[in-house]
Amino acid sequence: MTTMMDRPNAGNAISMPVEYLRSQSVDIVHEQWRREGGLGEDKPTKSDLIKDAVEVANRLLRLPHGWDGKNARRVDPTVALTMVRFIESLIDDGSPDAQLSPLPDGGLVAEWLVGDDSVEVRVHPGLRWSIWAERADGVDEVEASFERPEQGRAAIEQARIFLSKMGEHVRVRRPRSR
Amino acid sequence: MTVPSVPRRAVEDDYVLYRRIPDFGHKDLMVFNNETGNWRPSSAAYVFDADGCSVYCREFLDADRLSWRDLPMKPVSILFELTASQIRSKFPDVVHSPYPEGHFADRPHEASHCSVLRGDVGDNAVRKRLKALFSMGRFTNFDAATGQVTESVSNDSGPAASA
Repeated sequence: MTTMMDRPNAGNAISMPVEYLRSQSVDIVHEQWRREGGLGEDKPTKSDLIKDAVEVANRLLRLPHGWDGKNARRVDPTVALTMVRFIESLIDDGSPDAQLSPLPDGGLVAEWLVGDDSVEVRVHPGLRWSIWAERADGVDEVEASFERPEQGRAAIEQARIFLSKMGEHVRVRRPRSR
Repeated sequence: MTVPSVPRRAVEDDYVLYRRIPDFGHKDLMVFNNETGNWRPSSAAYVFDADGCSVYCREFLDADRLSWRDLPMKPVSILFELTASQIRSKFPDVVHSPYPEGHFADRPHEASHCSVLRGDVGDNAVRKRLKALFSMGRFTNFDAATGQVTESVSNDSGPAASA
């Protein structure tokens, strides 16, 4: 757990009497930071977010053949590596959580969801890939498909900007049971 | 093995369709909303093949004296529920398709198998329609080992009673 020593400036936002704070749990202090909009534990760095994505990708790589109870293929390691690189290109400090799911063909989906705004990236074996960024009103900011991962830089940049705006509306983080 | 001949039945609008969602203890095919705190299925949880997207009809299970607890639950441990009318509001149809190819007579629940028909639309249209559907419906999460319901949430009207 992060302590006040780790985030010395964050405590400046707190103006409650010391006696009151002493009578409460440390969580009260962290909650106060969070409400003040400081660098709370719910605002992870880009490095934190990538680390999470890599952990999940590694776990999904261990799924056996037939993970869906039918004939789903194992996640392709090249797909996983490519997906992590896409995530790295798309996110910044405080971005929404990149949420990875396996596809039956051995591909992966990454989704970001904040309110009704969403971004989705799909990578399939062979590294054919698609990206969608959709606003709450249903209009697509980005909708594109490519045959190779080197393609689509403009689409990634557009989606990155959209995702950055989505990050401003993050209220709660995915529970870290993963 | 001989596949039994089951008459095709009409899927009425108020019938409930279950989609089985694989889970490995981390809601890997569910997506968390960073603004609302709600969960919905990942678009990866509803994959269409040539026959459509597989779902199971609660009313057909009932008629055969089965329930969702008779559906194979490993590795599956999440069920997402939609009514036929909700599905038909976004996709052309949902039809009874018992014993799909490769599913055998020793699986009686396959008599309740239905297919959501995709129609002649592209991936992005499917994705958008699924996204709209996922704002409806209800999901039930349970312990695959014990069958005990651990979470039951309605996206329409907040937390629902346990199934």
